[in-house]
Amino acid sequence: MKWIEINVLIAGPGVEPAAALFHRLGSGGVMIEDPQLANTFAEPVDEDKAPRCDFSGLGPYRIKAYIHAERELQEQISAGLDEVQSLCGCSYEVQYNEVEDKDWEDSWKQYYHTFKVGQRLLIKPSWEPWPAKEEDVVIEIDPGMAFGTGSHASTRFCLLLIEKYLRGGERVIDAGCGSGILSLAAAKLGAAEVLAIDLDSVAVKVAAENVELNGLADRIKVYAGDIYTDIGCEQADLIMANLTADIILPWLPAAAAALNRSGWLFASGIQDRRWPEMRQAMEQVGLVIEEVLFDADWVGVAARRS
Amino acid sequence: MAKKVIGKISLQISAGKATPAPPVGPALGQYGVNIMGFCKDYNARTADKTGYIIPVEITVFEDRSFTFVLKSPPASDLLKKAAGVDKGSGEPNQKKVGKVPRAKIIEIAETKKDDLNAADLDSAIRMIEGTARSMGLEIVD
Repeated sequence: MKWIEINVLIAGPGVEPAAALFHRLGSGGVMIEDPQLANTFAEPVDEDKAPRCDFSGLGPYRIKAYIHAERELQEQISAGLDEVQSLCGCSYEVQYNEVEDKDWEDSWKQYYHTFKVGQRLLIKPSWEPWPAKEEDVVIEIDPGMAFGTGSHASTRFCLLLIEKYLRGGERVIDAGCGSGILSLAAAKLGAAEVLAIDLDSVAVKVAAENVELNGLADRIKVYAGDIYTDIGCEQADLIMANLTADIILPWLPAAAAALNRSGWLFASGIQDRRWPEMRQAMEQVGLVIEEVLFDADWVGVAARRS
Repeated sequence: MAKKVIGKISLQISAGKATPAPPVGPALGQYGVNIMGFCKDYNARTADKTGYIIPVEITVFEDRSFTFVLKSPPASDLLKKAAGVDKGSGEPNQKKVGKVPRAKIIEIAETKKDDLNAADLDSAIRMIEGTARSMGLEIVD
């Protein structure tokens, strides 16, 4: 997709009003930079010595906003910035550049490398050659723009729980599958059948590609759908929900109902401050908490239907 | 040993609604940060503030891991709420869309003073006044 990057250089008092202009025009947010600050990071700086972002001086500061290329807003933007200029008494410079998603969406890949989770799972970027050992369970993955590289604590919790509790032969639902990483781990560790579902069409496409990449299309079915409405009549031995507390909480009764007797629910992506509420809600729907994993401010939980 | 920082990123985005689209994608992409990982964290932490723009300051480390702190909503957001309007004016000089009492301006300046890093309350007030005028809000005594 093509975007117009609007690059505005403006003095301190104009920063907030100019940012407000772009919010009003529906830019979906802005980035604000201090060109001076960027220079301080030319060489890495110790964390405790790193300066804060501060846009209260004279500046000039840089605001970057992005608008879909087909929207013709240049006149409105110029007029808006002129208003800011006359009201705040600060001059500005503006540049328009055309940019594309591909300019940034792969840049993190050079820092994403093969790594191990738990005893046996080896998460391997599809583009990186890696001599796996015989005992490794290799998951090839290209997460693209879908969540689930395996490096986030919430995903790692689920991978650890899958490795620990999966016995083989299970029917699994991956609710909010993202890149498909959890489905792949479950299938590689012996699940008989996995239903991977996600609302996001990007995730569905990416997950399906990863399933193909790992040769697991016979056991993992990926489809676009809403966990609230689309898994009502499914039954599973394991449901994996690497989501957020706000999505999981209202869905718990339905998830519990979809579990077979003694079936597992792995829930993750829960902020630690939400954990007491989550624990209570799980117990209310008849789930027994078997294991809780903590890391920084994240919680992952394995619960079982009683 | 302190971790090494390679950059700081400042964004104003909607609570609970971060996506890999701009400005998040290009801002984090230039540092090699995992964009979706940030979106998940930000959305989880701001889910209870939906409807507000919650600015965020992201610290990126040498190994491309990151931490972030959330800030108070931008002045424009607080001013809209104070004036009871949905949107600022497209032509703030000609078309006024609402009124904000001076007392409210001072209150917002006090709230925002630390985030703005303003030298003193007076300069914070001047910045908030500028934002109010640029939105077509009239300041009344």
